[in-house]
Amino acid sequence: MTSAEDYLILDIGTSWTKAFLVSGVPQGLIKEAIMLPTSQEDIRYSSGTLIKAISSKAKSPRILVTSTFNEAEALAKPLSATFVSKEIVSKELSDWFALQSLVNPTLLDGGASNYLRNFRVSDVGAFLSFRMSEIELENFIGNKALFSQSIPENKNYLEIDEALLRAAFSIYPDLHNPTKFNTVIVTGGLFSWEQKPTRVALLLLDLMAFGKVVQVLQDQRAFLNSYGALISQKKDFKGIDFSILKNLGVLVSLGGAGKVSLDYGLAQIQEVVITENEIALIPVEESQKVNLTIHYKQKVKFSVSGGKWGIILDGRRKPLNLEFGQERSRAQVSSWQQALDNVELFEI
Amino acid sequence: MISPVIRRITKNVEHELERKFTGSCKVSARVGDEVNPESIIGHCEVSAGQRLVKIAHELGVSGSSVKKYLLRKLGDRIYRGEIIARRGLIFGVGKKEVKSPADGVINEVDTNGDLIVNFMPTTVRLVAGAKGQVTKVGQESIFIKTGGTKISGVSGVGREREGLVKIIAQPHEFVIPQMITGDCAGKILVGGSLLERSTIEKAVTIGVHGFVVGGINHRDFLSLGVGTDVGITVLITEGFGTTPIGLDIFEAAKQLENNFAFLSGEAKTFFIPIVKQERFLKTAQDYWRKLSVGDIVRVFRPGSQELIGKVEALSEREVLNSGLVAEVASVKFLTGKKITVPSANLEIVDA
Repeated sequence: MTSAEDYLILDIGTSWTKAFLVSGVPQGLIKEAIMLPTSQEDIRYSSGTLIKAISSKAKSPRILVTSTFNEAEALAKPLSATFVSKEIVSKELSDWFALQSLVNPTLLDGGASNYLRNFRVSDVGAFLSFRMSEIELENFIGNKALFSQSIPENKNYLEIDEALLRAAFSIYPDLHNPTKFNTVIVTGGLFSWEQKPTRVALLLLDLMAFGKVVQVLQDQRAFLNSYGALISQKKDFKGIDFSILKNLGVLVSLGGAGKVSLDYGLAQIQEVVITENEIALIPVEESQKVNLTIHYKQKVKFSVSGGKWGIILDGRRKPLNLEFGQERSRAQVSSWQQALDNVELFEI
Repeated sequence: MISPVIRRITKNVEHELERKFTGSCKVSARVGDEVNPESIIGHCEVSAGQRLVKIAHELGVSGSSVKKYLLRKLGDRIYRGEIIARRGLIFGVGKKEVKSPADGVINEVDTNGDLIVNFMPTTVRLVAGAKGQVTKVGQESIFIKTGGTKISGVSGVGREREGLVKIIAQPHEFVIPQMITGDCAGKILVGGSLLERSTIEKAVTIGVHGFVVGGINHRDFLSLGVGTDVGITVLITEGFGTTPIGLDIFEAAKQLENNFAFLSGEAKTFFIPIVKQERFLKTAQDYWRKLSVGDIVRVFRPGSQELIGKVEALSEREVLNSGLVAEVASVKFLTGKKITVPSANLEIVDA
């Protein structure tokens, strides 16, 4: 192994810059991962600080830079780095997902650029479990856009950030199409930082239409974009296991009361009956393959595998009947959060 | 952790003041000239617009025949009340006349028989506004190198406007319409924690030039038309919502009350030239640096009444109340209250 085989990848995002020092031999290894807020006025500072901090860990690593910032391409030259555009990264990842046999992959990036969109405040406020006026919420969203690198310091702020992501992803057609099974890959921002994966589950379930089933994979280190840049330059890294994606499990949106059969390949088939408005978690190990059948008028079958949370069955009516400013909605949101929190505690 | 370094107030800073022409301008200053605030550096002609005079309709004639009833030619200068068209009635009994509604120049007669009168341009004297030296005379503006106090805000709207500084409210007060009186016309009003929409509407009516305020509701800010100009300039120093203007900014502005100042929403700056100081510091670029204990910081905390504090301790990653894990800082506000916040939520305030 030589030091020349080390790669330093800079992923310069809207609000955060991530740096990864990786090695391809003897196996895929992320030797070091650091991130800092992006110094938006001059991206050289945050990039330079990260390179300095990480370069001491390896001799002359090859540097790759990827970003949507126009200045990033110019930054690459003095660093003797290679710039990889986001378009190339997307294409490489798309090819890699195919190589991994992911079914209908959909990538959801929870990065800070989502907070810069125009939101209808009622769409965001409907998902809050606490009282907040429309004006307060508008002001919060306005301030968040000014300070997009901020990290939610309490549960209320976290809920608002999550609600903003719900509003941002509500337009994704794949989440509304029940006839299509998708592998949803979540990366960046809260999707990578969230300590309780069941919160990610609830966020996605809230968006999923009646009858929708997805397998969820999480990029826990927000490495995916960097990996796309890496494999664009070093094709043989595509075959190396970096354990980038963690299988969180399966989400099933039944849209009300229903019955589901789970065939683990054993003698007996497990049948689960869900009442309306119930959310149930069935622990299933990541390596366990399951044939899942939903008993509508006609049976619908899916082949899935378990994961960190296993299989979550959602008996809530879709679309959710939530309204901003209504006590009923706040109570419902709160009860759903608690339901999944409790499930997690039970699991422990 | 690295943090952006913000300069809320920069005193004795060098500043290149751009004095934009309000119309065609006859410049009376040259590059290198030393100027005082009251020095006249140009005479600008402000176009006053046009007016349509319906001659054919008033005289009861066809549009094509209007020209033969005109008493003045195209290009003639006419004065308010002057008879510009006349028609004698049948048998010489009586007549119909049309008088000029304003001072102006006859521009054209259209096919409908309407006369277009260009109002006389008004001459406006352009003053330097600050003590300094003329560095450039351009097609649309004159640049003056000067110095003074520069206050930076977090957001703003409206083109550059000028006026005398007037303290309108204490930091914790709401800026309400009753505070806007006739003597606020042409001034830049400073202070308060929330600028209300009704106050802005009254201020525009009275002719207030601008506000420097702690906070404004986001919807009111958007209603001012980001990227456009509604006739007033607003600078927000702390953020959206009810947030008292920082004491640092308030005290600096208070000391310079009644001074002539320049407010730009687009540049998010409030510049108050000083006439006494001769040597000024160069403006440094905004930058980022490593966050350290002892730094004065501004905290991202929507809705909080206190935003400026001092870093007392920094620690490695900790679990926040939100359940997320992040580097944190202990910050002590000026009132003595202490909080622990993610370091990423801080901006370093450059003293």
